[in-house]
Amino acid sequence: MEQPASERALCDADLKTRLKHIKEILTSPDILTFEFSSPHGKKFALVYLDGITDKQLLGELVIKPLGRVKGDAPPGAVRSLLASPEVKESKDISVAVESVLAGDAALFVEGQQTFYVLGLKLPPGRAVAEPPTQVAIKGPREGFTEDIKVNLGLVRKRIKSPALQVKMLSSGTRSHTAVALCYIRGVCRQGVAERVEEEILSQKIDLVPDSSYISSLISKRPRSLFKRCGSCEKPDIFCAKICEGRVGIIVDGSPIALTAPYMIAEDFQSAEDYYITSYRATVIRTLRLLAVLVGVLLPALYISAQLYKIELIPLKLLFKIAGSVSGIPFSPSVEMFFTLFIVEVLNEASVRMPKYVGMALSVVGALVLGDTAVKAGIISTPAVIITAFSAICLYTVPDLVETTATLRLLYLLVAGAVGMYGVAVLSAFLLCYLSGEQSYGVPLLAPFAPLVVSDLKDGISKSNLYSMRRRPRSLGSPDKVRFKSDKK
Amino acid sequence: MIKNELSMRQTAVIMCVLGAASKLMLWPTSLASACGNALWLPPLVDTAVQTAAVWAVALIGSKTGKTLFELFSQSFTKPVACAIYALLSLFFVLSAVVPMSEQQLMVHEVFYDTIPSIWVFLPFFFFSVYAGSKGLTNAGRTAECCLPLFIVSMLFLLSLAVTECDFNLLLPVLDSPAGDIAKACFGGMHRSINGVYMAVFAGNFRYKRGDAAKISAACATGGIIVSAVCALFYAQYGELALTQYFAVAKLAVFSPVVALVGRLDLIAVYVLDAAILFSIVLNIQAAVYCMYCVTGREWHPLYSLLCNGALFAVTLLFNNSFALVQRAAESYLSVAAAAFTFALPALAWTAYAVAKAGNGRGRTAAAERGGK
Repeated sequence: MEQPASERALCDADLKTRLKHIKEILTSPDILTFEFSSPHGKKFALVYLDGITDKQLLGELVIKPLGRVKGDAPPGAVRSLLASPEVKESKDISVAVESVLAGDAALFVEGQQTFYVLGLKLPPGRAVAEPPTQVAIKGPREGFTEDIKVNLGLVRKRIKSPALQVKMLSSGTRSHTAVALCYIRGVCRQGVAERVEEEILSQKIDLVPDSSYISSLISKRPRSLFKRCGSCEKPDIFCAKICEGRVGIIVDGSPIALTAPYMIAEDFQSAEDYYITSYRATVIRTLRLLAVLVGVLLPALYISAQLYKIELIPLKLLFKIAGSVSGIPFSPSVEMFFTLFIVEVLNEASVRMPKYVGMALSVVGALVLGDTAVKAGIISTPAVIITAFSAICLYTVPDLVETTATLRLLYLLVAGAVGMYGVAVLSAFLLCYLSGEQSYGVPLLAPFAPLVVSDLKDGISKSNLYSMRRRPRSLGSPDKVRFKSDKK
Repeated sequence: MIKNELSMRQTAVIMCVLGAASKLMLWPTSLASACGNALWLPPLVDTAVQTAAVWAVALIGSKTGKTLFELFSQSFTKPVACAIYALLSLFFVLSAVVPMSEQQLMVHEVFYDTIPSIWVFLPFFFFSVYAGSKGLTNAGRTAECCLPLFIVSMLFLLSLAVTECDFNLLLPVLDSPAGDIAKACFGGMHRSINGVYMAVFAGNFRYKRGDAAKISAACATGGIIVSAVCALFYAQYGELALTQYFAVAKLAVFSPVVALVGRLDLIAVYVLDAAILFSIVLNIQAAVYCMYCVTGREWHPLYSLLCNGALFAVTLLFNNSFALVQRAAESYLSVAAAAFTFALPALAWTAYAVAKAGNGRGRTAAAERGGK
C-alpha cells in the first residue's frame, strides 16, 4: 500500500524530498519555496504564500539570523536564532500546510524532522477607521476592520482584564476562517460561550466569507425574519456588550462583530446614548421606536384608511388627498406598492452605483420619477410623501432595516387585503411570535416580556450611570454588580 | 417543548388587562340597556365575586404549590380530575364564543365604513390557532406586552372622553330596580371568569408570601377599569347609551381633539384591539392547557385547531344571530360560569383538606409502623 504524502514527508528528513512532498499537496503556483544555506553550509527551505506573508520580516527575522548557523549545529541552535516572536514547532506536515495557507511561513531545516511555523502573515487590509453605519458625534470613532488580529487588539485595548477569554476557532471546511469567541469569565452566564462554540463547530460549511454566515449558523431558527445575534462595528459597543455578560464573536474578514444573547431592544440603543445625558438618550430612543413604528405602519394605515375607513383621516386632509388621488389609474394599494417599489429600486441602485453616478441618480429619481410621475397623474403626492417618510423612518434603526422593510411590505399586503383589522391581527401575531422566541436562553422581547423592571433602566428609557449599577438581569450574569459607588 | 410556567406578575397582568379588555366591547351597551345609569355596578359586583374566587384558588396554590389538576388527581383520583378538566376545557371554548362574536361585530362596525365580507374575520382564526398552541408562558408574556398598549390606549381614550362627560347623568345612584341590576350581574357572569382562569394558572408559578393578595388586587383593578369605562360611557350618552355599540369606539367621539385632527381615537381603539384579541385567545390557551392536562400529551397545535374549528363553525352558523348567542350565553353560560366560579375553589379546598387528611393518616401510619 502506498504511504500518504504527509506521512512520507514526516519521516523524511531530506530537504529536497520534503519540499517535493509539500509541493505535491500545495500545487498552487502562488505557494513559493525558497531554499538557502548558511555560509557554514547548513541548508534551509522556506515555504510561504505569496501576497500574504510579510517577506521583509521573513528576511529580517528569519533568513538573516540563520546565516550564523553552523553546519553541525544542533536543532536547538536554529530555534534560538529565529527572531520571529511567533514560532511553533511541529512534525505534522498537515500543520505546515494549514499554516502556509493561513499566511504563515514554514521553515524546514536539513537533517531535522521538526519544522518551524513562523507567524509572519501580513494580509492586505485597511486601517482602523470610523465605521460608515455607526457614525458617532460623541464618543470613540474607531471601528472594526476585516483583520481579526487588529479587531482583537482593539478589544484588548479596551478590556485589560485577565478574565477576558479569547477562544480561537475555525469555521468553514475550505475557508478555515478564524473565529474569535470573546467573553469575560465570571461575567458571562455559564454555558453560553460553550453553546455558541458548539454551534459554530458543529456546522460544516465550506466557506465563511462574513460574520453574517456565523450569525445564521448559530441561530436556532435561521429562516426567521428576526435575527438572534446582535451586531456592531465599533469596539466600544462590543466591549460594553461583553462586559454586560454577552459573548462576542469576531470573524476574520468581517468588520462586523456579533454578540449573543440578543434582545430586540438592543437595536434601539446606540453607542452615543451612553455618552450623552440620559434625558436626551431617552428622548432619542423613544423617537427611534416611534419612527420605526411609523415607518412600518404608516403606508399600511394610509391604504387601510383610504380603502376601508375614511373616517380615520381628518376632514381637511381628506379633501387634499381626494384632490391628489382623483384621476390616479391605480387602486391605493397598487399605487403604494408601485411607489415603494420605486423607492426600493432607487435605494438599491444608489447604494451599488459609484458615488458620483449615485448622486446623479438621486436627482433623477427624486425629480424625474417623483415629480414627473405625480405631474403625469400616475402616482399621487401623498403616496410619494408617505413612502419617502417611511423609508427615512426605517433608517433611524439601521440594524433592523432588513426586518422592518420586510414587515412594511407584509403590513401593506395585509392592509390592502383586509384593512385595519388585518394590521391589528398581524401585530398581535408578531407579538405572540416574538414573545416565545429566545436567543441563548434570553427572550427576544426582554426586558419587556417577560418584564424585568430593573432592566427597564436601559430599555427604551435610559437612566443615568448611577442608576445602572447592576448588569442586566435578563442576561443572567453571575457577577451582578458592575458599578460600585458611594454616590447616590 | 411548550412551557406553562408563569410569574406572579404575569398572572396579575392577565387578571387585570386581559380580564378587562374583552369586557369593553359590547358589555357597557348591554349594561346600559339592562340597568340604566347603574351600569357601572354589575362589573363591580361580578369582579368582587371573581376576586374572592381568585383569592381562594390562589391561596390553595400557595399552600400546596401544585396545579389544581395535580391536587384533584391526588385527592379525587385521576379520572375525576380528567373529567373536571374536560368540562373546564369545554367551558373555556364556549366562553370564547361571546367575545369572539362581539369582536366580529366590532370589526364590522369599527374597522370598516362598508359592510365587509365575513371572511375579513378569517385572520382571527389563523392568529387564534397559532397563539392557542403556544402555552401559558406565552400567554403571560403577551399579556405583559399588552400592558403598555392597554394603559396608553385607555389613558388616551379616557382623557379624551372625560372632558365631554356629564356625571349628573349617573345620579341618582342606584336608581334602577334591584332586580334589573341583579339580573345584569348574573348575565355578566360568563364574561367575568377570572376565578376560573386562576384555576388554570394555580400551581404554574412560584408563590411568595402575599402573591394571592396581589393577584386578587390586580383582578379587582381590572374590574374597576371596566366599571369606570361604563360610568364614563353613560356620563357621555345618558339614555342614548343603549343605542351606542362598542363603547370604546364611541367614548372620545365628541372630544374637540377628534374634531380637530380626525378620528385619532380609533388608532387607540385599534391598539386596544390587540389586547382584546389576546384576551379572547386566552380562553383557547386555557382550553388547550386543560386538554393537555387531560390527555397528558403535548399536542397543542391539534388541540388549538380543534377549539378554533369549533369557534369557526359557530361563526359560520350564527353569523347573523348575534342576539341569539348573547341570550344563550346570558341564560346558560352564566350558570356554568357561576358554577365553575364557586365550585372550583370549593373543590380545590376540599381536595386540599382530603390531601392533608391523607398525609396526616400516612404520617400516623408511618409513625405506628416505626413504633412497631
